[in-house]
Amino acid sequence: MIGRTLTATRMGFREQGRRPLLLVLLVALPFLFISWSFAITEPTPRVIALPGGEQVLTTMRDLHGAIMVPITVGFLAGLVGLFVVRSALESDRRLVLAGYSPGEAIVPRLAVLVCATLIVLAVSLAVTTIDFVPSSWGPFVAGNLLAGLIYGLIGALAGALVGRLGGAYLMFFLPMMDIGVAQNPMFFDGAPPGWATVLPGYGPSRVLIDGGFSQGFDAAGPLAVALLWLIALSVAVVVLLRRSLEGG
Amino acid sequence: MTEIALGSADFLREHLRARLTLAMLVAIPALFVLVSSSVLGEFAAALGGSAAGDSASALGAGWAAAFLAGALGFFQVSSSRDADRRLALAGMGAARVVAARIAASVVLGVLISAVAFLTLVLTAGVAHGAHAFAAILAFALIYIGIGTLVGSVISEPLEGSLTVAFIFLIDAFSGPGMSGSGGAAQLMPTRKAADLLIAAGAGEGSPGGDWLAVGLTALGALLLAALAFWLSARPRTG
Repeated sequence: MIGRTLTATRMGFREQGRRPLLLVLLVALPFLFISWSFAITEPTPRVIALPGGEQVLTTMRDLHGAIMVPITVGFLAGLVGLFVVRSALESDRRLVLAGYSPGEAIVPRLAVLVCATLIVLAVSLAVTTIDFVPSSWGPFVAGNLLAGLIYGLIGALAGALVGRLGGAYLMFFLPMMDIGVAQNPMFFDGAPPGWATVLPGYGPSRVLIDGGFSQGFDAAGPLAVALLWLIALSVAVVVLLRRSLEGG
Repeated sequence: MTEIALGSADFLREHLRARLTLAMLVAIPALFVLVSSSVLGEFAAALGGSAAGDSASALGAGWAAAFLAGALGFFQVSSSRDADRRLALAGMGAARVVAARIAASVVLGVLISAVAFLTLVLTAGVAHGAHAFAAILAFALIYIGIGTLVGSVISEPLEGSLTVAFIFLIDAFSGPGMSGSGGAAQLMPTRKAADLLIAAGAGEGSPGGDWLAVGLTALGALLLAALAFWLSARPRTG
């Protein structure tokens, strides 16, 4: 059973390895988006509110660079999730008919999604450090990873429910509107407005903003919210894919 | 002519038969304009740009129309490559397939632009309504060309979507009112359309030369789209 899952995982990675343009885009886009954000933003002063209530003075440039990481990771992971699941729905039913259990077919797809998210995250963090060093690396990395995984799973759900075109629309605009606008401390009064707390980007964004601009950690609440989103979305994706694969 | 109209109606139905896709074509531009209208002025200021108030909100409507149209153009080509060739071979001919595809794309572009424009009118109001609608439509038509061009070169949906998004983000963030004013920013495809939109948002007119430039750019984009559709549908030997 584990052997079959490993084989399918290996095939899944080999399938992605045959797409050099994808790897180039997953590396080049974070590099361009983030370095460009730093380059074009004015270093004007900006007061933001941290999750613990403390207010700190920073610059628009640092904020823009820091918030571009989860936007980029969320956007790219979301699109990867969308098309990995579309591909799974088209071909993995055959694997199930051939004797694989739905779980054995789902695990390799999720492994590809997590791996793509990690690649994009690693490139994004490496580029960010050229211009901005977070005050506390742990929460900054964790927040960005959570943003990537949450949006990767939302992309996977969109792939199963909305289709390619609708999913592509959703995965471009949702991270942009959620993390890029609603959670972005460049706007409003330096903290997300009340309505933004119900969006999936709230928890990860508050965790990474805390890590980016504070040496302490006061984002336990947002971290718990992000983990709840992650668990709920994981369950939803697995249930939906199981049903799709068994129903095929 | 009837064949082209029928083909165009079928292509439209192909895209709009998924109710959720249709809902998103309407909801996303509306939501984007609504959410971004309050912050785009601040964002432009952070980038050292001059767009503010209603001009910045108007720019958001153009962006929403542009990305949706770009993705639509890409998926029109990437998903129809085989079908269009068969249609052409079955008697419709490549030219009529291309005309029907372009007509369907323009109708969808008008739909997207109308939603973005109406939301803009309802949320921020526009002093020069006709100018603003024409500029938003120009954003959509230019990106239909870009999307179809990407679709004719890249067939994989993930890589194609990422490429369209990449072009769009570079274009939007380096455009007028944002960070760009000279150098490479002058070469961005929607630069003149953004100038028109910003002026319309501020209640000002635009010089005739700008309208001509935007018209020619949109026409050029549609010709590129026609070329991409023709490359898809043209008969091949072997």
